[in-house]
Amino acid sequence: MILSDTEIIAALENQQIFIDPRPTPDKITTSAVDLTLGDTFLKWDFDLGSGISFSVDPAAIDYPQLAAKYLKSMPIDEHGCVIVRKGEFVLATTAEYVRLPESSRLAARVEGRSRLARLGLAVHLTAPTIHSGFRGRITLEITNQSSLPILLRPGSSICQLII
Amino acid sequence: MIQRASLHVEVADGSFPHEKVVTFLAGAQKYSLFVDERDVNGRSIDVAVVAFNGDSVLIDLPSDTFTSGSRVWVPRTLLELDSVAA
Repeated sequence: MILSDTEIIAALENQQIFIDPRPTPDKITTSAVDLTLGDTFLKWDFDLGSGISFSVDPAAIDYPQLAAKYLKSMPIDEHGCVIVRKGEFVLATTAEYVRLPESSRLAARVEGRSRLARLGLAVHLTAPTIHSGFRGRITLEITNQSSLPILLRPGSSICQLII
Repeated sequence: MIQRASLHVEVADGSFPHEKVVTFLAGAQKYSLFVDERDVNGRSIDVAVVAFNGDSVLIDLPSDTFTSGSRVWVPRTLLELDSVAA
């Protein structure tokens, strides 16, 4: 079952879903909530120099330690925007904080926008499920799969939450 | 009604400015996860209680750990249980 716009509004009213800042009416479509892009962009930087090999074992890594060492902030322009080039992988988050209380028994999926997909921009990498009980800003695993550099602007509509 | 609890954790800065890394030991297993800074209360986070088995408690965390999912067994000693509805 997917919540319709009236059901989403009711769920927000009843605090079965919590989104901060609360979406304005134009951000609620017939069957989804539009979410916007946050203002921090991170990128893995494994430039270790020549002759050094490095691989990651997902079963054994200390992810926070790895991230602290190799996950770098991307340079932003005077408007806070970044350019994602062909093949680049960027981590960002939604500007909105989302909470799906366990008691609501609601889960959600984050999906891209078709206009961005047409440009070759994907906003998640096989991790679209927002489980019941989730709290936080949603992490976006952004990839540019076209040859066109794409500008990411904080506050722009980046994805939709289907509940 | 879903029982809630406070889980004792170690807290460090996360990758994004708004997030923290919280870490806890459940027996020999170390768990880490990112949580929003607003969900950290000093050195604890709010969790949902799913089940009990002796001195172990099955809990739901607010997001996935790096080594498994969001539902993990922890020693009861790591928790302060309450009965506030979610």
